Amino acid sequence: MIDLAAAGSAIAMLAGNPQAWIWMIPGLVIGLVFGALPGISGSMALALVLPATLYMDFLPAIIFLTSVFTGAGFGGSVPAVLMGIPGTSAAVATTFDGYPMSRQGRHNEALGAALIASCIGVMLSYAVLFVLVQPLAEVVLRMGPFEMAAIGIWGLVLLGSIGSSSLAKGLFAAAIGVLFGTVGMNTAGYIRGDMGVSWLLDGVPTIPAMVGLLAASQLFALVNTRFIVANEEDRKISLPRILAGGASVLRRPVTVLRGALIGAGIGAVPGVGASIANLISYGEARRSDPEPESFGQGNVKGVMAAEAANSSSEGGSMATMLALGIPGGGATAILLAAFAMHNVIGGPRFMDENRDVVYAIIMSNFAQAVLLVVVGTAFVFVASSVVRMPLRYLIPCVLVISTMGAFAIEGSHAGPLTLCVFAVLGWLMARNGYPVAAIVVGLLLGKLIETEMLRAWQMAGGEWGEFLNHPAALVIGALMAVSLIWSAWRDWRRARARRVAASAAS
Amino acid sequence: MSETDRHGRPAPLRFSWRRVAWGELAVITALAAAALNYLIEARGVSLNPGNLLLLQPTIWLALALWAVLAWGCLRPPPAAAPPESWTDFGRTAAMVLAFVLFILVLEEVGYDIAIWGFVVVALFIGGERRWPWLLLFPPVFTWAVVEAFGWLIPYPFPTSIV
Amino acid sequence: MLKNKTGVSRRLLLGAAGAATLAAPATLRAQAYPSRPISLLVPFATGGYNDRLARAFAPFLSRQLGQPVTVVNRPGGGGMLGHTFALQQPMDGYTLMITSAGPYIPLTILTRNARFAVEDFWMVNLPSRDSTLMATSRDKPFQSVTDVLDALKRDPRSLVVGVQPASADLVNLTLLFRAHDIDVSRVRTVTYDGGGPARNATAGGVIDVGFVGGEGFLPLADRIRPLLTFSDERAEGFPDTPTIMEHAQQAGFQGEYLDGSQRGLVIPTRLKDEQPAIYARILEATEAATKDPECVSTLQGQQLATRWYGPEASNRAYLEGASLMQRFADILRGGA
Repeated sequence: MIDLAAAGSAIAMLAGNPQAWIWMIPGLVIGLVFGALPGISGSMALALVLPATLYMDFLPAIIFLTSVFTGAGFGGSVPAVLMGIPGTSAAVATTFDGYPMSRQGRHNEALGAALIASCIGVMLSYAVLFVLVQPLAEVVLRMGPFEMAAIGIWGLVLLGSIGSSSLAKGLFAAAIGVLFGTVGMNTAGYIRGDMGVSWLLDGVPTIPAMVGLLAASQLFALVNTRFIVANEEDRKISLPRILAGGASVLRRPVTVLRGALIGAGIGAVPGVGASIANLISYGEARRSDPEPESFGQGNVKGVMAAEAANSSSEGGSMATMLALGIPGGGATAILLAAFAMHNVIGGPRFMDENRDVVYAIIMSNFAQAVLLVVVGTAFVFVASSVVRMPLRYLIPCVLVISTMGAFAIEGSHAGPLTLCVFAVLGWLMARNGYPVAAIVVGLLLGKLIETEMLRAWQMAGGEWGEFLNHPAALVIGALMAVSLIWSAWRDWRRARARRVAASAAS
Repeated sequence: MSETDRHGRPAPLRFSWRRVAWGELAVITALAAAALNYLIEARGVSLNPGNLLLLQPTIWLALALWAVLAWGCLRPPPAAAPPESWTDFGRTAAMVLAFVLFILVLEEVGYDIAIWGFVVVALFIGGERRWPWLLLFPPVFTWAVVEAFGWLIPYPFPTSIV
Repeated sequence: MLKNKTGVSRRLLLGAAGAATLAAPATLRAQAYPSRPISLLVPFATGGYNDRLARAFAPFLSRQLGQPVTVVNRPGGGGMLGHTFALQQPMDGYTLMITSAGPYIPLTILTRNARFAVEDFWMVNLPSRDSTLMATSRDKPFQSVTDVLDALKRDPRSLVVGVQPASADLVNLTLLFRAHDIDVSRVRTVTYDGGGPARNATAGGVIDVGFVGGEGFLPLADRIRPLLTFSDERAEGFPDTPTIMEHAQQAGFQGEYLDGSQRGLVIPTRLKDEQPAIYARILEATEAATKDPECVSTLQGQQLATRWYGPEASNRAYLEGASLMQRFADILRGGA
């Protein structure tokens, strides 16, 4: 499936084009900075630098833009780890364990692990792309509503009761989140829950709501605390500890590999990709771990699983863009617009006629992943200084920046208002022991599940027997059932072993 | 906000109004009421499954869970952690209130003045009492934020001075 | 929510100098127009057809007006938020729009109670006309529109059809099926909240037949089999695909269809009426930019429409479409 002649000419193209290289580092830095600002997403960063690429040649322009994309993918994880605020919806699962690690003074290790997991994720996904770009795109295009609904429900089952002491509280929070996800016009054209507010027609603005829920439960709860990291010794930023965190990733190849594959597969699905791939990867890592209770308490494996998946979604979304000309999300839509500005139309014909250019783009992403290790370490080193900032300064600053980010992403007062409503809700819920993360998961998956279930129902014409005609959905359903039964059985056996051990001891 | 037994003995099973977790009860009841209201509104739009397929079962689930949780609020288990002091709670609540006010006045007084005001108040709530800092930091931060975002965002946001 | 944001607070607090400029007589301002950068508002998300058109056209418009032209996206509510926003801006000619005036302006009025009227918008030029395309995946057995219709006549539940709810596509689907006495309510219809997802589902064979705007199908042309164009002339990208009029003549019924998207440069009607001098300047600049040979070749290279119809023809087409929509309001409001 690899066209060797084209690969050779791609190498020649990159080697003979210094312009293609000089834009990589600026691109990564721009992406990192924008991605790290809560609310400013990778696609906004791309839209901002797009005009600058008009005067570049095609290949340097695309490499510059993909560098920004790569940088932004990791940039969003930095505030997720340090402050529990995801820069983008793709970094939600990173907060689950990354932020607890920071509170324990292990932010160096968490960021190091996140960085290396990201770089490996980018590389693995592009490796998959290099070999399988066409088949991957084919599979994704054939994913119908039954399959997608199954994936969404899988995510909800894995994470529905995340981070809560009681099942009822977790489910209640998740149900409320799902309901928020259904506000506005659904895919069948019914409008409800918009309360006559015109901007709610498109649903609750996801990113401001998510930042509000997570930021509030963290920042308001910290008003009476002096620093994020309690122990002054641990507030130091230490390169060896960052590197040690990175090295720990190499000792967990299974977690990272599974995350990267989930990311490349689910991330390739147009529209939903990255924001749910990280949740599913995290949920799977938690479910299959011998100690699932340690997740959410600062388990570095949670950070790795989330980061490997969200960064490998990038390669996944490039697959449908390159092979089919279908943008997976805002960022790839802008890349396609950039293609168009250079009179290149993505799609099957482009793939066939310009295989060398496609390979050059993929190869340059390997180089970006390697460079990201260096540039990212430097960035993390600088960004970590926020843990040294007293919270009485940090809290107002972060709240203001989140507000501006919410305004930027919505383009109107709707953003800040949403942020505020969900901030108060998140604070109230968290105070009373309800898991805010479950609301976020419900919010992110609710819309997807409703849309896809509805289409599945329409396709079946109201008869659920139609489900049996969709083998892929059946396989996903069966895998879900098997994995749940397997972990239940394992928990039961472990509990029994503990009982036996306890009785033997006494 | 339940009272703990000072001797750590299991709480008496007798119902007492003072032991009810009023705060939690209020929050979940408000959410359940909103969910019920949502169901009524959605059913008013259309009874077609195309409208209610996911919504209706989810709301029934939420209401059932509310019943379970509300029952739990009436007889909460003894709190494990010491209750937070009123001063601490007051400070947090003040911060929340300041933030809500900040959002509400953003459009009215302009982003610059609102940010400056919020930062001053929030610093004060956070315990900053050194007046040179209160005087210097907010305007500098406001200026930086307004400049940076003005450059970032393609559409204008209302400011008064900067 | 979308009241004029730069207005009140600013005017209250600005000094006398600022107030004086704002209050300057209209004629004075018209002479100076344009004296500062112009926003080209796109009420849809980045990457869509309108966005691409705006970004490609902006440099040429800027060359004519002598001021930078920046593209501003304000998506939401099927264009409703952006359209409302445009009407709330000061009528000074510094906010122009590139949008799918048809069908979205009449559509949001009919189905979403938008608080503006069809006549509130004035079409300067609508170069892009898109029609509904009925298409199937290459992997499906249907070779022609008759194959699909025959299957549906035998059993309306035999095929899965994909369409956007409350759209021109839905009206076209309904009219076609009605003409063939196929019970639309019994056909398994899957609804998509956007043209992109509906096209992907068609190309991937997730649904049997899709009814979606044709232009978006061009990048996927190798993967689909176009069956029918809902227009009176064959589509540029699909020259071998019969039109609904040809099909109707063959099948012996009166052909009827609704135009798909009509996209181009749009301004508030109030701007034209209140500031004739500014309007004349915009009109002249748009015409010159549209006819600029370099603009024509650039836009064609990106598969974007560039043709000068002028305000008269554009407004006629737009109003015709709107009144047709009014006629089929029951189908549009009926949900799916």
